[in-house]
Amino acid sequence: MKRLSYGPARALLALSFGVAASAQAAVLDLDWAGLIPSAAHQAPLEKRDGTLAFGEVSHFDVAATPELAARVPWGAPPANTEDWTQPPSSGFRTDLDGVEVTIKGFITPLGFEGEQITEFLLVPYFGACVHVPPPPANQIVLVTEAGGVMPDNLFDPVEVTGVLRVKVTAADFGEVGYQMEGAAYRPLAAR
Amino acid sequence: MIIPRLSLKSLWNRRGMAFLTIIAVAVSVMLLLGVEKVRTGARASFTDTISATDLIIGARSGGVQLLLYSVFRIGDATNNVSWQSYQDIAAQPQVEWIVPLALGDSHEGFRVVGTSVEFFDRYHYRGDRPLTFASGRAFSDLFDAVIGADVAARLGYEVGTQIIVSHGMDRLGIAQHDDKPFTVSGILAKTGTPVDRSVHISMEAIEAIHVDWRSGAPPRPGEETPIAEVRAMDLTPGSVTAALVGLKSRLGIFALQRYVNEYREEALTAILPGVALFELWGILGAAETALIAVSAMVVATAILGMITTILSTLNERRREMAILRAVGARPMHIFGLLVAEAGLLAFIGTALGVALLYVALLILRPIVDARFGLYLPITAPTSREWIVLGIVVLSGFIAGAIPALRAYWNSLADGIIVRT
Amino acid sequence: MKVAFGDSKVATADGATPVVEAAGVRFKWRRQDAFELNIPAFKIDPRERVLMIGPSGSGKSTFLSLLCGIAVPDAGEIRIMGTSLTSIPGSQRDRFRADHLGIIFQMFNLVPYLSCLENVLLPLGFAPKRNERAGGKAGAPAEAKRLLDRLGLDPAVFADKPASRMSVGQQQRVAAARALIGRPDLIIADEPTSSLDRDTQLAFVGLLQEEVAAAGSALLMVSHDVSLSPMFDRVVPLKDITRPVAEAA
Repeated sequence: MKRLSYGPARALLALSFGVAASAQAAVLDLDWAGLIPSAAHQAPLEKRDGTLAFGEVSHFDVAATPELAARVPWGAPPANTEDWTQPPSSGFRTDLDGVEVTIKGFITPLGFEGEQITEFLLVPYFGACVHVPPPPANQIVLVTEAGGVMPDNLFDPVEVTGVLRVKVTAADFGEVGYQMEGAAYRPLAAR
Repeated sequence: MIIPRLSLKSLWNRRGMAFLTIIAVAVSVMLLLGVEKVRTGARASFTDTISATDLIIGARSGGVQLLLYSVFRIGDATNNVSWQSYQDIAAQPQVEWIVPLALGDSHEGFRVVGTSVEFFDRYHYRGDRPLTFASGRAFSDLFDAVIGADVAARLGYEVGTQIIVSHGMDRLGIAQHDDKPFTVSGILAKTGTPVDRSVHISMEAIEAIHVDWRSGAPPRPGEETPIAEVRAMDLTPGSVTAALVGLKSRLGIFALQRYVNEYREEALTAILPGVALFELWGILGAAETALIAVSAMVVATAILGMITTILSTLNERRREMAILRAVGARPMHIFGLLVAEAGLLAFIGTALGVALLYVALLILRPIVDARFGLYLPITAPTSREWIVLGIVVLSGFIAGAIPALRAYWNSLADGIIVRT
Repeated sequence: MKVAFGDSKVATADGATPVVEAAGVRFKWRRQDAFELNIPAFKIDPRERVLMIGPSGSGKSTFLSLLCGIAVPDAGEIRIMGTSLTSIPGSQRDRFRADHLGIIFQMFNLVPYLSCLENVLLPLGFAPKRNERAGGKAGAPAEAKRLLDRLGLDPAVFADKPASRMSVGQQQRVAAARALIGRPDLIIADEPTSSLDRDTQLAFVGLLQEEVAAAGSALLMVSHDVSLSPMFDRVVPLKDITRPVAEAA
């Protein structure tokens, strides 16, 4: 398998663009439900009516405290962790192809360059595809040639900014619906 | 500007004290920057050790531990992986290549690694560099050995040299496989990784030398199985210590990881080298921070010492300040003069410290490499290091405000008349 | 080296701005052992040579500090060349001093780590106008050497000599050159000869007066040596113009 060369300069450029662009409100802030086409019949990942902000609590705390888990608004892993069949996805947001977006999520690592992670799956809950079953294809983003600020731990949530592409890739658990190339990431520190 | 000229002349006049202060600052800067260079050098050295490998498989243990013993040859495995498990994994569809590693023996203090010929094709380091042979070639005969560059250099081996493998990590050669000598078939070019310090033989050769050691004890003299007979035996390995795996696609990593983690026959684990390294940095992070904090304190001490020295000379300089005031210097000029002196000392000290560091690195690099296997890259200061140096010089100027303020008040009080 | 005694009294042109004019000045140091200085009236005309007689500790240092603008009077006004010192903000007073005054101390006149020449050029670094009068960046060193020569110090030998390696007499002459360079309006000499032996004293004062006249400056010399009186236009006992008032216990 050919090793991908990564472009930290591009990623940093993307990050600075992202910062400048977000200042001009040109970068779309997407949540995971936003990746599901609105006309589709696919229930977004179980979203709890949470009051905690993304990044306000570490996933460790969530895993350890059920009450805490109930207050978390973002996606929860499927309750049945034995069934590893990828749930069906109802389509993709083709209107977002080529749009610069920011998505908050978790890292499932794929590749490193030096001390930086450069290739990973951006997923809505920690451990997706490795410790717990995969989400639907339109709830996974394959991030390549990425750069940015590394979080303190690989299981901490991050914010990834880059140009979204609708590009279905085959994986051993099923499919990955979206891609981001040359994206910039930074950690969401737990307050 | 008259103030910088005056401060230069003033320091030159007191050059003994200035020299000592500069040395103190220089040594402390050397320490601070040196710690940073060793820290980043060690990290780069570790990170560069392995690339192009997607997974490392081993008996279940911490990811960092597996990485350390399989790739860095630091520490030992808790358990082995049976040959059956190894083959089961190798048969998985996502696997493009797999290389076994068998650790345990040594030669003259260097680790002996049992592996396959494919190792020499698949192992990459520092991005995408493959292994190359400085002389000779990979093993073809059962008792061939490929040695790393440091082994050859330290022990003076060449292609064709005969060597004896010791059992376990025994350096004294008490337990040796001396009935089964090896011939050096190839010497690898220098990589700056633990490969340089390893002796590579085939998996079958590992089996061959342990034929009489099944019970764990050496065979009695005269009862060793002769080489000819060993060659004819079935030398399928019984177990491996770890395995390096390359996948057809990175996205095929998940099923394989799950397969390994859930493998029923044995407790196994599969790690991404990058993830394990990242965990290693997390562990070391606190120690690194402490080390840098201590070095920063040393710099602060040197600067405080400089300020103390300047302060102690202030009294005898009151006459000099009065003269300057008489010829038209403002109290701010007096202040500026002393700040400039402190800042100048800090600047020269810092510059000297950087120079001394590079001299020290040049001298020590081969020694550190030979002793610890740590190859320190000698590079220009990074932007982060420039900022640190700038902060040191700036703090010299700022700390100079303390005696400068004192002199300023003195000057206001004394005017042009100093009651001696 | 000619020594001049008892030069003719310089007549002041009517209407010319006095170099120094003090009126109604009162001053008291904030220190415990201070006494009050009281100067009803004092004047120095251009090119005038005034000898002020008074023992040490009778307010002489205080008076000089006031003239230099180092100390600010509690009441009254001091004018140098028509400009009231109190009207100038503090930071500019120092430059004003550098522009218009040259000061010679009793001893320790020179910055020890500078050479002779650098010491002479010192005030020019703090007063641009004076620097220009002395010839600017290009001409000042030559002017400094000329003054050294006039004061009996061979520039070829002394220009680059560190000040610390010169005798007291030599140092005093360098100080005189420093005071004179750029032709300031007033030279103040505070007991400049007290550390010299008798013969050197007279020689120094004569030399100083020659150069002061050549520069067109006024001279105010403070001393306890009454015998120097004939060399000056006017002799003023310090106690005549000041009224030290002992502080009530």
